[in-house]
Amino acid sequence: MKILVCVKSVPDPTTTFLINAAGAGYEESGVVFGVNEYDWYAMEEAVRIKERVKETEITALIVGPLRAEAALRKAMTLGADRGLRIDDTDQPASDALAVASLIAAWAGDRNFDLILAGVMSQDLQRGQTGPMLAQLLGLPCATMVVAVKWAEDRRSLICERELEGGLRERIALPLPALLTVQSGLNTPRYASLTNVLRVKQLSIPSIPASSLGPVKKCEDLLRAFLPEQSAACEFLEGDLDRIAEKLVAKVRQRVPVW
Amino acid sequence: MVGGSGGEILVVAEHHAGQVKPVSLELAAFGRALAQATGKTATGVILAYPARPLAESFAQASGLPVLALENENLSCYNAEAHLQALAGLARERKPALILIAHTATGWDFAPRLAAALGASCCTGITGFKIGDPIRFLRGICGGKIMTEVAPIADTVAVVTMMPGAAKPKAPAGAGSVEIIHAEVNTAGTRTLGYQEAPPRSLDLAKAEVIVAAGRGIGGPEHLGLIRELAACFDRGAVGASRPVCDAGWLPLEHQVGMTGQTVAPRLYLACGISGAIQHCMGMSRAELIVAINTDPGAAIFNVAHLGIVQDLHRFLPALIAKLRERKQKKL
Repeated sequence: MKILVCVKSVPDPTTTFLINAAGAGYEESGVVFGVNEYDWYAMEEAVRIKERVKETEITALIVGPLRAEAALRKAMTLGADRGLRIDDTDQPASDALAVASLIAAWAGDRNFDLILAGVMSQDLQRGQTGPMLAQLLGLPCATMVVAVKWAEDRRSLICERELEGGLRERIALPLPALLTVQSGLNTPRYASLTNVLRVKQLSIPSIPASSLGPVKKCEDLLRAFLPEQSAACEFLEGDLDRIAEKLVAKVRQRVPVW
Repeated sequence: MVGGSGGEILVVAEHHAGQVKPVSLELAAFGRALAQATGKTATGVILAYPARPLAESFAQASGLPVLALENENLSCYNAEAHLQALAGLARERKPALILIAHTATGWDFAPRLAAALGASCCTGITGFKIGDPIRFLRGICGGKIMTEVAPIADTVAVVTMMPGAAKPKAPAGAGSVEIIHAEVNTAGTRTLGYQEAPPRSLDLAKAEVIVAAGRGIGGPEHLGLIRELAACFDRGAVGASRPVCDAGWLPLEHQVGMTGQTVAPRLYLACGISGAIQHCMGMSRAELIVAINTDPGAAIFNVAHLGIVQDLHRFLPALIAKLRERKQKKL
């Protein structure tokens, strides 16, 4: 079985963001990047399949500049066999269709049985790349997957998607297929030392985005700005005791629950 | 590619268990406001089988003229059937915009619809700004940054609206209904059914005060503080953000947000919660929101009324002591 896991390198969510010089995104210098949280669940699920299905090979892929390789390697330490980076330095794949079309161009004739991706990226939170990739490759797709098991015929997957209010939808997808996975699908393992050392020694090939055809676009990011601290939010300051006192008084005034 | 020069906005409704979802009426209000501001017309779309009862219900509640796409395969949501039917309709009517709710369903098919049509795609937007081009607002990086995005010129735009971005409006009168037979086949994905959430022993909706724990509490060993604070109130309960339930620190029934419970207590104390939009959707109607977080840039402060930038492990004991002191004075 051939599995492709799509990974994204994202800023640490606790970053204090600054707007970049172009005014159309966040300033990347000084920001610590890591693996998109949802991609850990995708990688873990791939490794679990590999443990059950003989001759499974896991390829991990990332689209991004050289700095993205670190996140790819980190994700691979769960147990991916090989990695690949599509280098978009020369023509940045700024939106989801750009990324999806690059991956589709590369993966098109490589016959993956299963493609796994996180439900969305923690930074841009669009949730578009996975489903768009499925559409471009003509694959069935399930998003927001919180449970996966094999159907009896072993040629399709039974997935549970999480809907609003905890309702779950059960669907069967024939392979090949693409799943985007939600947190809670599994508990990602800690990487074994063997895998950490193995991945460290692997070379990660990169191929230029320009070799995969023109980069497409599906939206223009015109402006980014820091939201004004909600005028409604009043910050309470002072020492702990003083803040607690202020808080109790203010709450009593507005909603007398104590 | 479908040219997006037309003057129509298609508003795609959702339904479950024979009912139009409430979010579809928010979407209709959003679509109507957008149509009014841009000189376009808004048309409702519903995919169902049988289609008439749901189409009439949507036309009546939204006031929009409704096109109902009918086919046996559309009796419940199936991504492929939805895609085929909607792509067919879009190719025929060449709308300027297709509006979809950013729900687990809308989010599932919207990006695929856009890719199938060669359309633009803007997901999870919370508002719009009139201009040329029209701009949609979207929060990124956990709400720490706001962005304005625009569809690519001369394409149809597939846009998903965050639930809560518009308030439903009572229409002047019911819209008309047109039933269209849709050609769809579903060779690939099969919908097997739905599984209701397990019954809850905890009904957060009844709580007057919710003390909610986020990832920022650090670990399950710190839940004692949260419980202690909740116990300071006669009708206090413990809530949680998604990461806390995913990690198994608290059972799922405590989860507040899009995929958890929607609550509107008198007081919501968010402890170590970053304020992801999915969480805020579940608690923004609380009467008073107090946020405690060490990160002054956390998005939770954008929805909170009172903010405290402190380590909750130090602040909560001080608060609990203060509350107990008061209680004793009262006795």
